[in-house]
Amino acid sequence: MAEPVLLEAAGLRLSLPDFSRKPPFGPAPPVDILHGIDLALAPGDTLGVVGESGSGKTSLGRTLVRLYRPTAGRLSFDGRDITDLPEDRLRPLRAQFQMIFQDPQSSLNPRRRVADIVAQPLRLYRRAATRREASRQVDALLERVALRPAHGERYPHELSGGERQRVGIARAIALQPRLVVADEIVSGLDMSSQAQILALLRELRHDLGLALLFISHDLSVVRTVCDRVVVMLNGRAVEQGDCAAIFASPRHPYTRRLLNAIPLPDVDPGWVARSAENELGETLNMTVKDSVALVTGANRGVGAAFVRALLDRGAAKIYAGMRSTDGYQAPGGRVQPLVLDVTDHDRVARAAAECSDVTLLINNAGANRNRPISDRDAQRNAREEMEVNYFGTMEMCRQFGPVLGGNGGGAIVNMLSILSRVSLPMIGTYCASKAATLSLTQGVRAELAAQGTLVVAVMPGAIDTRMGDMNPPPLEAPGDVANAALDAVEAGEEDAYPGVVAGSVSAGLAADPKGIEKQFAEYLPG
Amino acid sequence: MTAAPPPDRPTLSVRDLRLAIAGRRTPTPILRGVSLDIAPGEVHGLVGESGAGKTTIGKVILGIQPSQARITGGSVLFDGRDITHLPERERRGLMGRGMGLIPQDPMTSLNPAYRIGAQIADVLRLHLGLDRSAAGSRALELLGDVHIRAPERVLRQYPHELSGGMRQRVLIAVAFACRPKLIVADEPTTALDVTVQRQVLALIKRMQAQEGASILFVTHDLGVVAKICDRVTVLHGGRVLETGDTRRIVEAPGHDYTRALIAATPRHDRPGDLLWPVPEALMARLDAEALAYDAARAPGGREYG
Repeated sequence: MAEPVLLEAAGLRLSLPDFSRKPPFGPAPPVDILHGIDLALAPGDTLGVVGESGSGKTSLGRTLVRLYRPTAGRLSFDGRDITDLPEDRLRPLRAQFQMIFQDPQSSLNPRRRVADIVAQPLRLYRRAATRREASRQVDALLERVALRPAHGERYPHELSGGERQRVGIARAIALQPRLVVADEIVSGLDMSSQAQILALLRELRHDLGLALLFISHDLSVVRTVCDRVVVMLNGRAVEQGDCAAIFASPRHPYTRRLLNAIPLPDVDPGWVARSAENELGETLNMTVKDSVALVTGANRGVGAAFVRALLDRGAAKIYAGMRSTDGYQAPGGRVQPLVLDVTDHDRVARAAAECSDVTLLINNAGANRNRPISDRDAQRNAREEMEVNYFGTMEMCRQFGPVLGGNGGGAIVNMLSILSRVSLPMIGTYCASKAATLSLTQGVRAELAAQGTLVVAVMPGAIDTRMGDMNPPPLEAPGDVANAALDAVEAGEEDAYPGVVAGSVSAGLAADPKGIEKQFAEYLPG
Repeated sequence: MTAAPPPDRPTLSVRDLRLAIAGRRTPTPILRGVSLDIAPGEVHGLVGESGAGKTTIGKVILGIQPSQARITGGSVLFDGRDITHLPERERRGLMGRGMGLIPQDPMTSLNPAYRIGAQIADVLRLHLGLDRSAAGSRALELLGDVHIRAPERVLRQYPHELSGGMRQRVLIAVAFACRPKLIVADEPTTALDVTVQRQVLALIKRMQAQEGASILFVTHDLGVVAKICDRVTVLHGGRVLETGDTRRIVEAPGHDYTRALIAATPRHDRPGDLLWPVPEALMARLDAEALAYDAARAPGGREYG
């Protein structure tokens, strides 16, 4: 049975003009703020939106109440499509969804008394027949937010921060809305006023049956008012679900990072030192948007999925490595085909000179001969696998390390396999080449940390491509693996284990390495 | 954590400090007999809500309290020397090598019209008497110390070109530049994102350990206190309610208000309904105590006049 939905967003996108890049004549180029947000809010629901500055959480809140018009996607309120509804037809609906703004100093008219400010929506929507009726309603609203009628006579600057925020709340609930969007409404307050405002919100929500969209950078605060939460990063919802479940076991690395960064009021002498996650004392991470990427082995499979994922995340340019560019069409001109065989070291060196603007290197090219060591050509097979998987990756890191350093650090993604950690029968030579490359990755990571380059090891289970058919099922979709790898880059995670198999094997290796080894030894590829 | 402070005299000793802001008719008391000691190498947290007077204490220590403020009693001893009523010139001599400040808002504390390098070098030339080139190379070194990745570039940049976290790093570099004995950090991470806050806290702690300064860490966030302070003073209405080791204060608070403050601090690891605002009865009691203090000290408000 479907629950009734009050507010629903599907694939919501938003672009705004970027005035910092506006040419002297002509319009400012658009900048993508939201990249397809899906969310739903039932009547009386409370949904928290968390993220850091620049994550798009405020833009999301403003788009949901149609202060911005979405660029794409669908937005509906109470079953009615409001995505492109013109302002005159939107206006009667606006009474039902109200917003409380972050800064009460600038969102309350300094030249009006509090009573006037709260009465304004009543006047605009003709909810009070007489002046006396309006003033009676204003007094009731002030009382509702624990202000005295005397506060009505004051001007905003005569109130404390907490009191001003109460005025914002009283104004927002004046028209008895069904949804309130509260944007960072406690971030400027100290702990005790903050606790009072949060308690008030909980009360109002309970008494008025309000649905609440609560935007905050602080996960602790969100936990106190919300049942569900959306975690935003660079205009995407990276994780969404029940607060209790997400806070107990966050799945996305970025959510984990946010939670770990919050100082809880418990004494923990090691906490500060633990934040020195590398020798620079700061987490290395990078935004994929506007990056210049180079993907090796981009003809098909995971490589091709990387190109798509990079395009989708707004990479500025993608050098897509392939042996031949025949028949390749570059969508939008952002994809530049590059003839690149990673075993040809002269060619790699030339590529590093030609592609000197790369900030994100994805070493995806790999070889798997899929043969056991009893095979007649085992020596040659093993050498070929090493030549591509190990020496190829090494040469790419070697040549592009300085390029990345010169471009501010950037990141290297090495596509490995869960078989870097534990070997399978019949393809031991392939596993060995992947294990060697994991070891190499760790060394390169330590070496390049000083120049600010993040080095990520991606170790998925079997992927649904030609190369993965020997590995234990289930098979992961290439797109999911590519996106998990890019998530790791954006969150600054050094190791990524995309998919169920990789996740459980990695956990198993931590708990019982010998047991996992045995399980894998017994698996015979069909 | 740092090693136990050596048993010599405190770097800073505030004794029964009283201060009032001159009003049109009657002065408003802000500090009501504040006492606190900070040992060498200690990070001392000063917590309280807005209006508690915590920023004012920091300002008095640095000698930058507003001109309407009058110190009506008590004293501030820095390194054993009474600096309460030091003339402006001598006060200035203390800054830099004696004391430093990490301010709350890194944007308004840097001059938007000058490059970062010039602003750091100015401090070094003024307080340490370095010449231009020595100041320049020391500035470069300092930015490296606070883990700024491309220090040469940052030296040539203007404040608006840096992120909030980067600006705060620059100011931390400036505060530690002359190896001061005491640093007043006034809500240095309040305006930052949580992940950046964590990095900045780690940086302050590491610089403090490396340079051996004492820090007065002003904040309203008990979480931050629990993570970086050795000792804490809880302030309300310009009065010290309690002071002690961080672990004792956080785990076994002695004052009702401290307990209430901890209960009012939201936590992401517990369901929301376990959050309690500070009870109004307690606030009323504290206000009454403050008024009683004023009445006992200054019948007719004369002391503040």
